Amino acid sequence: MMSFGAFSFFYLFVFAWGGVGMLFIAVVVIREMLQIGKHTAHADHLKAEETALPETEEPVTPVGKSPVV
Amino acid sequence: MTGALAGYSILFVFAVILIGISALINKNNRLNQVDELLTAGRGIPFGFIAASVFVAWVWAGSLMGAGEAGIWYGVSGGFNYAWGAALPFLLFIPIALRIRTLMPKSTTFIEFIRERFGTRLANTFLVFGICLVLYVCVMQAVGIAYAFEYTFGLNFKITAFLASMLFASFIAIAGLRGSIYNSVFQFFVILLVVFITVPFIVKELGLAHIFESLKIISTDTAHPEHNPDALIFFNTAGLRYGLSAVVIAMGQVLLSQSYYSTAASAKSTKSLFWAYLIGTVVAWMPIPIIFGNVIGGGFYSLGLTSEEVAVNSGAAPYIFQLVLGDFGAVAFVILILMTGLTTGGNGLAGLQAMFTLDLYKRYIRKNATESQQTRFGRMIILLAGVVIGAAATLLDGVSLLMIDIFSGILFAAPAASLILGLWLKRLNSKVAFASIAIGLISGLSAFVMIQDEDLNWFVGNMLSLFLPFVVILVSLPFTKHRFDYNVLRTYEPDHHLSGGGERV
Repeated sequence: MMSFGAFSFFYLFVFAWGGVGMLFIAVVVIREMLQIGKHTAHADHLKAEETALPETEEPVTPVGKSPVV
Repeated sequence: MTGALAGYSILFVFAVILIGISALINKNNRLNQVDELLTAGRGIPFGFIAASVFVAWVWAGSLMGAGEAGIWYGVSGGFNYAWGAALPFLLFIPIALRIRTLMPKSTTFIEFIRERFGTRLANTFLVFGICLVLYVCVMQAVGIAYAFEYTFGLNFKITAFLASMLFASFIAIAGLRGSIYNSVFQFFVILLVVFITVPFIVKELGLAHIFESLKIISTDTAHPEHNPDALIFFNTAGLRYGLSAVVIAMGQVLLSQSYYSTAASAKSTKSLFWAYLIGTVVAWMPIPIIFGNVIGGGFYSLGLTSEEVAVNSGAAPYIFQLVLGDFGAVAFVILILMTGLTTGGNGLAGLQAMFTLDLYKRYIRKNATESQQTRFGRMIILLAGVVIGAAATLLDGVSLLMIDIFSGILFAAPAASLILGLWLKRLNSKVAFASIAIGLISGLSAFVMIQDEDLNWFVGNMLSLFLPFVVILVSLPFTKHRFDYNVLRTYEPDHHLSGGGERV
């Protein structure tokens, strides 16, 4: 039969395990969201520059839509 | 606070958020291209995949089922539920990697079956795959409807139908990308709810009090809920429960196209591997253990008995409401709503891929353009939402446990031919087909013929999963034809692949 010490350790260990796992994913997701946001802003900026250029100038290489929300 | 208005308000708020995210995705991506709609352009990064896999595998069963296991099996209940359901996922990782290596340009596992075994077996798997998704989605709608009915007194049929239409809508609007991005939002909601409510419940009940209550259950033979194994971590009954969870989850994982679609959407093989490993073993596995501990321990520390509270569906919401009041009730409903919507949406994203590529393009309209295919993929998912909603409304009061047992027997039989077909070149389609039929017939026969109700479902599930493996392995020395896996590497789908289908 499990002792109270082992029982408490098990409860806390599982909670810490779940916490670390979910927080790790959360941090990585937030980082990836920021990177995607930065990428989108850059793509939008290039697109805006492209449309602002006079017709005589060399066209800027088209930038595809980025895979973001 | 917990009236019908509050219930409908919660549904409405989350519907607006989730459909809003999908509409934004639809606006900013080329979702009239097949690969964009069905595999999210094959460029989703690690964290998004990990969050999506995590929430897709957290469903009402992971919370309420694990809680029920905690009540029946004590301290080992949540753990046995967790390893039983995680093992098929660990097995899925090499399968997904192998398909990615063999057929880098494939989208559905049906495509692999067709190229490997031919049309007849592919169509058999297609039927299994469609039935599985419909079953999983109906279960999600029923789970959500039960939670809202229990807490807010909402009409079961209306809630089940609304929930089905909600997850069907965001998949119809934004496809797999809609499922993944909404999953990320739901991941954060689940994270917050779990890590705010659970410590409060444990604090309110007291760890020492929970331990003492379990000790009384295990030592007091006169107690109505006496269980000598309540504080024994490795016990036979619990391990048998874990083994049956393996069988039931095996078919649910291996035949679910959504997991293959999510795997195909991964940016690279490396991120696919780590996302599935971390999403399941590191992040998902503790969740059912936590719920097994908290609900199982809470049940006895509150002095409840199985005669007072329905253990299979009512224990978890009852404990949340009793300990945390209205806040707990609302938190629990949001948790069930999030888990149900993500799993339902994820399942429908897989269904969309199978319907579009393996049914519409192959049989209904062979010369369909990508735009016509994606339009069909969206419309059919809305129709699927109606079918799921209608089916869910019929299940009011029906035992979900019985349906779950049948699902194990029905969907475990094809697992052997799928797994072994990826590695054993001597396995042919006739043997594969025979193994499925034998597994299915023997599993169902055992379930019907064995009189002992504690044994028939267990034997039926075991036969359905393991007998096909035996049939295939015994027949191998007698087969002559050897399949050339290199043929698969040259497979070219009819639609354009994002990034040319190159894989890192």
